Amino acid sequence: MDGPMMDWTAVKTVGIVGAGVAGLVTARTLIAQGLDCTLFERADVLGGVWRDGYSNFGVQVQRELYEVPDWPLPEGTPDFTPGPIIQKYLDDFADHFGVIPKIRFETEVTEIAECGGPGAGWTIAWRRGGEQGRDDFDLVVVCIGLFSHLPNMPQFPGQDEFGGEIMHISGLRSRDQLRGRRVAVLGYGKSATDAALESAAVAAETHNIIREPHWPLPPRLAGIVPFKWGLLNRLTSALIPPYQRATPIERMVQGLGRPLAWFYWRLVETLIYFQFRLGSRFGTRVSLVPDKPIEIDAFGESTMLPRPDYFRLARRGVIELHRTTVEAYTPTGLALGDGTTLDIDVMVLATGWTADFGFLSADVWRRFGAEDDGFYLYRHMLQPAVPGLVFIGRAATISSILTYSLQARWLAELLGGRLALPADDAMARNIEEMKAWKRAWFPFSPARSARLISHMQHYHDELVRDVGASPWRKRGVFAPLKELIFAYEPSDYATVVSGAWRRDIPR
Amino acid sequence: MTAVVWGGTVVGVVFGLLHAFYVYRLVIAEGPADTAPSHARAGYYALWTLGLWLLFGTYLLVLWLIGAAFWLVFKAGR
Repeated sequence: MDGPMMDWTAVKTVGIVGAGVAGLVTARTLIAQGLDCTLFERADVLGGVWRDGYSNFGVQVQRELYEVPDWPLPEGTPDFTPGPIIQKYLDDFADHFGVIPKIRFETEVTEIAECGGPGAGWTIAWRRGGEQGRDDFDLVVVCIGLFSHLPNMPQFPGQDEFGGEIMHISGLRSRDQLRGRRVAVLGYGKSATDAALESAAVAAETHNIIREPHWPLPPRLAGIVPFKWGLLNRLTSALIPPYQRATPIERMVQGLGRPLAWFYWRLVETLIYFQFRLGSRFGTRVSLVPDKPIEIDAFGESTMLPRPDYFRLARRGVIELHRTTVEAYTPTGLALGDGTTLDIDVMVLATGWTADFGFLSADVWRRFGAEDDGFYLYRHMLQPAVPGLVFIGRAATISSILTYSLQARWLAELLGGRLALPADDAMARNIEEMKAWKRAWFPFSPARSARLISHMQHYHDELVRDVGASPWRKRGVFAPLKELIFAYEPSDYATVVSGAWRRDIPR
Repeated sequence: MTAVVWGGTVVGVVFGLLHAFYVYRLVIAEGPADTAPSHARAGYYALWTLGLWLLFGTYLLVLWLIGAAFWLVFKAGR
């Protein structure tokens, strides 16, 4: 039953905030359904995070895990696809599906407010250069991802006296900025390891300061098995801590079969330990073995998929690792939590971005109930107390482009009247259950509410079931075996995302 | 050794039949991708499920026993 205040099928006009991956796949899907879409993009080009990254940025996963399900990457695209290639791919995608004419570039959204009461539509206030305006929409879809464009810049005592340069990772445009200098990189996520590699190529010294190590996920386990086979199939999905709505088989695996699941992850940890030689006593004679077990750590603040060279250079001392905290700046460098000091010329803060939803009116923002770990949504998209405002792209998974594409299809089915929402109180209960489930075992992070990581298989199954397609996507004689041990990839969902599955099923 | 193989096979049969029944019902309800659900397809998936349990039942039993031993040692050491 639909909520009482919102007739989703009456939606004709849609305002989409952001022309990154989530905004583009949403616009493409809704335009194909005949809806009048307008995209608001702050920059002068589309692509979001892909338009303008730091030096040497790129995709964290193999190419087959990062493509629109029914719009494959061109032949010959490399694994861990460089950012500029993805940018070109998105340009072509938007052009092909007629999205570009719908984008208002260099237009910043300053406020999103309800037109009248809840469910009566939304007004987007915008600014473009010196011009300002307001437009009304039946529905607004926020596609700005988990964080804003504002860098997270941790402050430390003595910062004003530091004689060197402090830059956020987003300011690192070229490795030439680091040439011949003594560089410290703060952080241990993907961007931090990328920055450390860039620095190692040209800098006089490269230090990487790591507060808490995480289990790195190699492209291939033991150099043989692609990590997607070890982590992203239904078999291993049953071995991680069970989903909020686990199947009976998964509950059995985590009950009677618990020793088997526990043993599996210890084997994976052992393989990674030896593959990266995590006990090597890097740099300051502290090992990089994480404190948390891998099946928990993977759901925390940072999922580590480093480029292959990172650990090799760290072992050789080209990148010197420090497992400690930054206590303060000194005039010539840093005072670290382990009592040592470093003389540096440049501090690179690979510390992510801040969340900023300041464009939502205070009343609307209050109804989202945001807390330290963010705000929780039904199916990671809807808050029943705020009808007509949808988030697409607020779900962190290993194959985000697939997740956003499925979310866009889910929304299209809802607007087309082919998907019925539960009652508002049932959705609110579902949100509370998701919150309790995540808080019971996910490590804290400011975006915990949006993180799903390798539980994406379960989430994708739910979205696909909701729209009336089958979650069993593998084909051929060996389909039952593939369901168990083959990784699910975007191409498996091509007909769901395009909407063609409805036409193909003989009912 | 023979006892372990027989034990594993029995485990495979018991859990395989339960799992196969569950898979059969799921496939009937949902159908594989872009095809209509049918008893034949559901039976095919169920047979695969039972076959895999029979094939790997012994390995699973052995790994479960090893895992349980390590797990108990790990828990005792904490």
